[in-house]
Amino acid sequence: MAEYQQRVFSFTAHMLGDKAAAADVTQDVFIKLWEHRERMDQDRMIGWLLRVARNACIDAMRKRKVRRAISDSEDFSLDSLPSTGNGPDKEAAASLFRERLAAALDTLGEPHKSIVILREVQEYKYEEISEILSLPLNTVKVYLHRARKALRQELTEVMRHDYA
Amino acid sequence: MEAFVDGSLSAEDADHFDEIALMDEEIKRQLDLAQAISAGLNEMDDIECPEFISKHVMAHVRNDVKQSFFERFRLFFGALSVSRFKPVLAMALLIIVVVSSTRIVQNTSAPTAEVTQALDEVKWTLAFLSDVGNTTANAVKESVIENQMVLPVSRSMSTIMEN
Amino acid sequence: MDTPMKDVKKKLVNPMKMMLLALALVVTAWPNQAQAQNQRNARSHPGYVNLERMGDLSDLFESDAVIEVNVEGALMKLVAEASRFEDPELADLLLKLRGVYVRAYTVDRGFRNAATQRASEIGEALMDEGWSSVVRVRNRDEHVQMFVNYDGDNVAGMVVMTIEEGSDEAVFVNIVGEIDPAQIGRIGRKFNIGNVSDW
Repeated sequence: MAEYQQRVFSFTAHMLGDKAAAADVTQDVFIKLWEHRERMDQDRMIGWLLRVARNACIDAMRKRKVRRAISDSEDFSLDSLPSTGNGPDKEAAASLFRERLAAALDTLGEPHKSIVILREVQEYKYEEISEILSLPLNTVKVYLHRARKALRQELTEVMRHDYA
Repeated sequence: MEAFVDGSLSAEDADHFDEIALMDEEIKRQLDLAQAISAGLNEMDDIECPEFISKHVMAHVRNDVKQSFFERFRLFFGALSVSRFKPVLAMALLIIVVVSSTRIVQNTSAPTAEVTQALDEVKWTLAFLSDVGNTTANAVKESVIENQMVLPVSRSMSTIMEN
Repeated sequence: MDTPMKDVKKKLVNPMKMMLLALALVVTAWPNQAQAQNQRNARSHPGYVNLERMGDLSDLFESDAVIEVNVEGALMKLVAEASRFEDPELADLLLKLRGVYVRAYTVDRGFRNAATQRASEIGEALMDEGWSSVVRVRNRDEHVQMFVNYDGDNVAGMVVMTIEEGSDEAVFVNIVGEIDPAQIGRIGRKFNIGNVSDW
């Protein structure tokens, strides 16, 4: 159960970008699990938990409309993409890129954002994501492709803005 | 490109794509970005779940269990007021009284052999302790009084007498 | 009236069966539970010393104890009540005790020094655990150590270890409970000690 809690919290924290809100959502999800315990199928529990968590996140996001602002004052270019080299400049660039990436992730709509978090961050399989989101397998793959494309476009826009 | 980044292309197709990317600047740029995005997302930390969440959930569960217990308790004893259960209650009380009385009667009857022997053992132990205390007190008295008081006084007296 | 009964039945296991089962459990478990609890009370008391643990005494003397006394818990209470008619003061003393434990061994001459040494080590260990040394006598004829453990202002436990030259006996005694050493001495004088070997 602790492992399920960890996965749900991590998912909601990435979705909402706010640990406090993620804690509230996670708590509500597990209280709902307790209330539905008699009808719960053990094998499908994690899917159920993430589905309920996602719905709760969507409700929370609608209420709050949280966006992470991309800072305009920082320089960024494709030349400073994270590489295998070490060194303070490269480290700072890598850190900046991660910030930009998180902000770009936040611009994605649903279900693209959920799919990216489940697939790329939490490394669920396509079949598992399909079950969690109640979407056909190919639809999940298509959404993921579109999400990745949108992220590339968003980050390219940011870089063009910086160079302009 | 995504299949290349995912590593799901065959070795031959991957090499082919790699050659194309080397020749086309734009494709190379997009490929680098796609790889950076994939790596960046993979590196996003699993955010650790705070402990208080499970504590809050368990508090809610315990409260819920308590409520349902009180509810069942109330229903159970409410149901007992129905006349059908009165004979059962009466029988239960009778059994408790009989068992308690039996235990009291057992306690006031003559001591068993085990108890008698245990009493002898306890008496011996107390006698032993008393004897040890007595012997030890005498030994201490002899040692302390004799060595530290009587002997020095008698030596002093002898010295005085000699002089 | 049927409807509320049906409602209750849906929510409850049959209460008659539940009550009879509960009664059966109480009747069978009650005495054993009480006895186990009494034993735990004595052996978890601050005045209790596990004599075997302290010194591996049976290994040291290469034989089992010739005398082994374990009077504790419910047996102690029965002993106290059994003594009430002949000696009410003894009964009152015993009611305050939780346990009386004795181990007595015969000591071959060759082992006397080793036994004395081990008794000293046990004494050191007791003092490390907070016991206070009351008496220590070491001479040619006997080796006596007496320790007490306090619980607040009261004596909660007493340990006496003696190794006597003349009788070739080593005796280890632990008394647990609310102890008045003067009272023990006074009451003990009434009884005939005899020899351990006479038992």
